[in-house]
Amino acid sequence: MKRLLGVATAGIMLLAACGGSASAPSSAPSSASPASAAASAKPSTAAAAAPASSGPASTAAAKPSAAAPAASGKVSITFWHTQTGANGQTLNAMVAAFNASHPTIQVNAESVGNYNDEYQKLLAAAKANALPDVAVAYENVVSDLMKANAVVPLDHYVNDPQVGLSLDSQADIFPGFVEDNKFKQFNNQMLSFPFTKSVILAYYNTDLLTAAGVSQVPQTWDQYSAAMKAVTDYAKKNNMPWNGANALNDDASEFDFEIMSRGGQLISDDQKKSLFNNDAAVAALQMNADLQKAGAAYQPNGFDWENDLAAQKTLTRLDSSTSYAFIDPIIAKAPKPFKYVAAAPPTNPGVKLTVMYGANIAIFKTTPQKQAAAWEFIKWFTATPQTAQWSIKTHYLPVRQSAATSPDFAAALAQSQPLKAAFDILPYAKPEPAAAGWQQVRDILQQTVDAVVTGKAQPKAALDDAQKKADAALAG
Amino acid sequence: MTSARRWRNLPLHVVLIVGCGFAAFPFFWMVTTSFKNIYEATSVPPVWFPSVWLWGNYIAAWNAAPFARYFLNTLLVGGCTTALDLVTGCLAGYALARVRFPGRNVIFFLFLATVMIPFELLIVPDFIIVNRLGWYNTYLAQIAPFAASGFSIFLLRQFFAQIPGELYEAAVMDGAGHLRFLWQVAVPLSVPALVTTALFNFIASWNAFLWPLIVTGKQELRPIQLGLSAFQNESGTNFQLLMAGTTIVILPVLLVFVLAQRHLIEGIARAGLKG
Repeated sequence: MKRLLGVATAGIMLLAACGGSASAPSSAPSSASPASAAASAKPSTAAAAAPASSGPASTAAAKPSAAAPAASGKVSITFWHTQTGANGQTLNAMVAAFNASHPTIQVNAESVGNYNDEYQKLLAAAKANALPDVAVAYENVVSDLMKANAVVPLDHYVNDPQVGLSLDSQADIFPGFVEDNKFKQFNNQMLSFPFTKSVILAYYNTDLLTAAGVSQVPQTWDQYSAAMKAVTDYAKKNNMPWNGANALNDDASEFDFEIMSRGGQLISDDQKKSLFNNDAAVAALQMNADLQKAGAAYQPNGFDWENDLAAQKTLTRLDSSTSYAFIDPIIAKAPKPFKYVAAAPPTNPGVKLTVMYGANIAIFKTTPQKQAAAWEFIKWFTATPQTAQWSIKTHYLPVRQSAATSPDFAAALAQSQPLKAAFDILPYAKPEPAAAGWQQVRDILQQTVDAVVTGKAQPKAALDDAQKKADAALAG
Repeated sequence: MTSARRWRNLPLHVVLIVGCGFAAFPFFWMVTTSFKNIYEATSVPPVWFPSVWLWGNYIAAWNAAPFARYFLNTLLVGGCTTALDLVTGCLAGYALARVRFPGRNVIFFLFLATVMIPFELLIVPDFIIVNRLGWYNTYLAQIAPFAASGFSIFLLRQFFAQIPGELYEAAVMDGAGHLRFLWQVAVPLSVPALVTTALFNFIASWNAFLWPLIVTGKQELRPIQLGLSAFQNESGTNFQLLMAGTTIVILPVLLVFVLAQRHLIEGIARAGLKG
């Protein structure tokens, strides 16, 4: 008996060692590595907890999480967001301003980690009937929570004659943002509101372009391809330490953009079938593969491209308009200073397009008073003066076209070339699909780009394969 | 030692030095990077030593989040968890080792089985329970789930089982019952095991990230690891500040480790299985 106990104990200890954590939770900070720190705009599927779609639906009135006790007559709401550092301080200041100007409402803003962490928290909270009153969320998260019946559709508030937005006000919001927040699979209801938006821009080292004889920033894909090769030739001729002209961003968002900018579609209107297996996608993959083979493109890890750009080991990168806040300090410390420009990304001739990044904000089902209070907060935050102020301080983009009328914002546009480039292309920004299962399709798309660019697969074959997997993901 | 023996030891020493180098390198990298500017911190090929030692990074890191408060929270939560875990571990471990009662082995197996469950599986059920008890946004939510653990019970049970029966019989002859024997004889004899348990608890509390993130919303209640997320952003990471922040966070643990090192090694070595 004692021997059996000893052997069993040893076996259990071995299994426990494989399991990892000992007594208390010892998971190291999951966001410490750059790869997992939301390098792409969208959160990857959460590793924890059971998927929300199969969870018990939190019926009508979800219990509010423990917000601060409200003063008499005051409605107190909890707001989850992912802003840290300087942006977090800006957000806290704006929330304080809202609380000061709205005596009957108290918004308690809580920073809940990065988007992945927030996703896990929201899933756990949805199961425990303890969702916050309002939270920042990506489209797929809103989709998941809508399936759990926890999200409040906003059309009712937007169109309300008393507390809603006038038709002019609604038209003032950039059309792409409106489209982004209307969910086709839920009867085209508006389930969230734009919050921290950005767009894809192309960052170019213009000194290098000029030195290599490229007279203007590429606007079409043909010009882009030619410029990559020209600058690579120049770099090789001058024996520069060189990684490749294009620091390829293999994220699905960039691939989506390359397809759409060449006139291709991504998904059927009923959100059930993928349409990305088309000539545009083949052309995009072929171009990237050719550039990589010619040494004119390479695949950087995580945020390495920022340092490579500053070290002049690469020429360009397609990435978020918020990136300039990060590359500016790095370039400032680089050994050889240079000028860079953020431009509208290249497209087919005559096409004006970019793809939008960034999260939206959604209201969860609680009580009518709290939901109304949450709507007041969203309405205030996205009103022209506030959205302009938010954009100036945080490098995100304003959600309204009338932000340009704010003198502070106009001054910021004059001073910041990337901000102006982003604002100018914003009317032409399109959202990516937000169908159920699209998160998996994004992973499939990224793997397709990786496979073709490293020579492991041919474009058409890889796309055929991806289409099969994507359709399965969208169906099930 | 004869010189022949010295030469025979050389390969062993080389292997150990190389292994030591691998283990120490991340710390070396962390500390040197914490003094670099952002360009040097992310350079490829890597820059080994900063051109200018930026002590200001530590000040900037400290100010990026309320680290003083986070330290206090971690000490509070860690201290309470450790104390409670030691008490419950001692009581349960002693009972399972030395008190005969029906179902003793079954209960021990059950406790052991809980060690095998991955923590991620417990997040949702634990959160539901904590929320229903009204403990969301409290210290209690961070302490209570870890006030007892199968691992500590196992470790302490093994130690208590090794105490010779004669000691107990002698104590009984002097009029002691189980409880008195436990506190006055068994526990002082098992100091290595207690220190080991305390250390595991302390380190686990120090590393706690996911659970506190889920059960707290207010900044004032958060422990230290959540502070490090202040350096990461959607568009990049301030590596030099992150390294400075990490160094600050690690120092107390290193200190405790150095002080308790002797006890820890003894505890691990003696937690063997005996028949």
